[in-house]
Amino acid sequence: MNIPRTNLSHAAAPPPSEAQMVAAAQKDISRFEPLYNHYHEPVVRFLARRLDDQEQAFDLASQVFLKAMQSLGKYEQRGLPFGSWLFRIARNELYNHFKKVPESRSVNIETHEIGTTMADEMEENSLEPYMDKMIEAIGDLPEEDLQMIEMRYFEKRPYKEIGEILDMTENNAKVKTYRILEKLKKLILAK
Amino acid sequence: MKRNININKPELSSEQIAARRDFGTLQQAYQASGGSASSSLFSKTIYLASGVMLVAVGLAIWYFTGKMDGPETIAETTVTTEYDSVKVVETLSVVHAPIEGLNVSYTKYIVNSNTGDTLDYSTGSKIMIPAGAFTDSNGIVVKGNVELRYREFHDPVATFVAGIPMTYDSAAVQYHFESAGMMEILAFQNGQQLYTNPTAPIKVEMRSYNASTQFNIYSLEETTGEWVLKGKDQVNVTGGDAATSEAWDEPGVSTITTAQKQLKQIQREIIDFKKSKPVAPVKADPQRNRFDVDVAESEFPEIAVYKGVFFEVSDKNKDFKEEWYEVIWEDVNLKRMTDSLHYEMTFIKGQQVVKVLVYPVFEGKNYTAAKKKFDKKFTEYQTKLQEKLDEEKRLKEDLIARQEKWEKQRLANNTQFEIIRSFQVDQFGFWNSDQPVSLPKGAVANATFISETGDGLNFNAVYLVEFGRNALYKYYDKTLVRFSYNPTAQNIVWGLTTNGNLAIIKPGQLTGKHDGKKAKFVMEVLAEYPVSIDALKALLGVEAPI
Repeated sequence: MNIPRTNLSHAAAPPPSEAQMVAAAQKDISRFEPLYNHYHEPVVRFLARRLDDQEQAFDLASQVFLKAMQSLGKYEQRGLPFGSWLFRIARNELYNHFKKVPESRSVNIETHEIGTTMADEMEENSLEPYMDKMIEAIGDLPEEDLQMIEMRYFEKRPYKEIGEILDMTENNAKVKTYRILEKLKKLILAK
Repeated sequence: MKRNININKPELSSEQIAARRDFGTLQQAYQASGGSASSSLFSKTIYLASGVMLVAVGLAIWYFTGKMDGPETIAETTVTTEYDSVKVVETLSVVHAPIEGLNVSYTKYIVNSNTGDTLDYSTGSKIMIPAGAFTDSNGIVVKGNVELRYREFHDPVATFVAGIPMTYDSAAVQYHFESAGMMEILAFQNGQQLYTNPTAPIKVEMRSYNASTQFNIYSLEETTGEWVLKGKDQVNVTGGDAATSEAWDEPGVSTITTAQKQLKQIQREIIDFKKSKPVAPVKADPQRNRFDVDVAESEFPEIAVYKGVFFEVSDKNKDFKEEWYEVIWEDVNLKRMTDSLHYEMTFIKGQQVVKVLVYPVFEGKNYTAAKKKFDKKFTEYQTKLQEKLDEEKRLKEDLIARQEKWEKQRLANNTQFEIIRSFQVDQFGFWNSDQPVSLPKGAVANATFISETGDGLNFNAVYLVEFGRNALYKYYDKTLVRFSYNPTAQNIVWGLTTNGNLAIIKPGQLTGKHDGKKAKFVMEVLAEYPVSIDALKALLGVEAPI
């Protein structure tokens, strides 16, 4: 049997673009569902990484999507991708939550990422000997610095997306991240 | 703000998250809010809706449990493990088997799309197909028999022969994938490719040989070669010796990490210790310029042990001026150079800064005494250095022994324990439980390769595999100038020369640190390709799975 495999997209029919989905949802909110389905997991993960209470993460995710639906009419497709807009809402929701329950702020550190990506970018052969100091130093970072490290290294986001979420240019995100790495390097070597 | 620090906390699985996805409830909350922002209203709505949802989930569980008690038999389900000669049109795909006729076989199943089925694969994996799981290119659910093709990849040799790209771009940095298991699933009807049905997702319980929860699930976009992060898989480990309550443990990983830390620690100590190498006293030359400077014992113990030290001006100074002796300097600093012999002396007065390269010298009796002291100190230094080097050697051997033990233990665990990674597929194609890793470190060479007869070998790409890690590191022709590997690991290297010959470096033959310099590696060039994957594995010394 000769079975051609000419269409390798493996997807059911060409899907509409994200911009088309947003436009459709703006006209009819019931058509928000594909966007919700697509972004539900990333948003829950974004929140769950910063909260110990998983139930809280699910609840906040629902809040994020509700706010997105409520504000969808104001979302303009000019530069800022829909996903980054959602993560901005998620970040704001987290801020509001931490204001009410400060002790709920959690940092989920991936030692594997410290040992690979961060070590590479800090031009260190290995951060293994400094792992404990590194973890402590990351935990002590100012909130915005911590968010950049979380997004860049533990969530592996490109600088472009980090910039979009934190409302800064891609280059600025890159420069700031390198400065934070330098700061961390000094901290761990000094301790 | 007080923060809770979690180290390597297991993430929610995609299934756990998907179970909480509920657009209906969200839409109800939206309508209840009147379509405008109102956070307090939502919390209450969600709470009440959750109660409704629990009942719904309970009913769903009862329904599906009832169905599972009496699954319908699919009379036409057939299995074959023969690799057939399907001429797959791969021009649009990044997946190209590099050796013609050598590939991982598909197992073919015939599934009744109307009823679905649970399929068993030879490794112990299960593919759970619900009714109505397949659609055509228009998204219409297909009926009747469907041909499903499935294959798995559990070692780098299988990945290589199938031609699957194993690099991952994360945050604009390229990494290589370490895999805890990979599979490909395809479906066809009447020669036409089918697609997944989002409302009836297929679930795969894939056999794995790595129980780590650090891996994520990725699917391959074959036209671009991009691996797309899909979420986490659920890891289940069963088996073990119930009588001794022996449970799964990632064998020896912690002890290997400890051994690596100890080795790095002693290597750092050696670097630091070498800085204390005693300076051999040099007899002063009365014809040469010199300085008489008091040296702080705490800063320069290697000189302070001697009496009557002067610093002679080195010939390496091109623009030394004797008039500097006439200046009353405000400050003088001394810094030891990396050659352990010279020092840089910096004289400062206001804005004027002068640097002079010097070395310590002694006169008369002071030289004799210094020489005697040096001989004693140097002997002590050499003895201590040798002790540290011996310790480094011992720790290296210990690390290799632990790695070998780990490998044996892991292979034993593979038979004793059964590891299953579960996830849902939302498209057909390649699915991989992976974690991105950097290229191995420890040795770097500007590599060229020659045959055993000394002929130069050219490659488009060379592959490196470390025993104990299911990763296929790929070095392209241009990146071979920085060919890096871990010299403490058991390495295998192979590649297809530009003439199409398979050339290999067998385990244990890749040695040296090279320090980034040019290095030639000898490869065995095979006269013909191995006849099977097992033959290739045997040739490379790979006992699957890695």
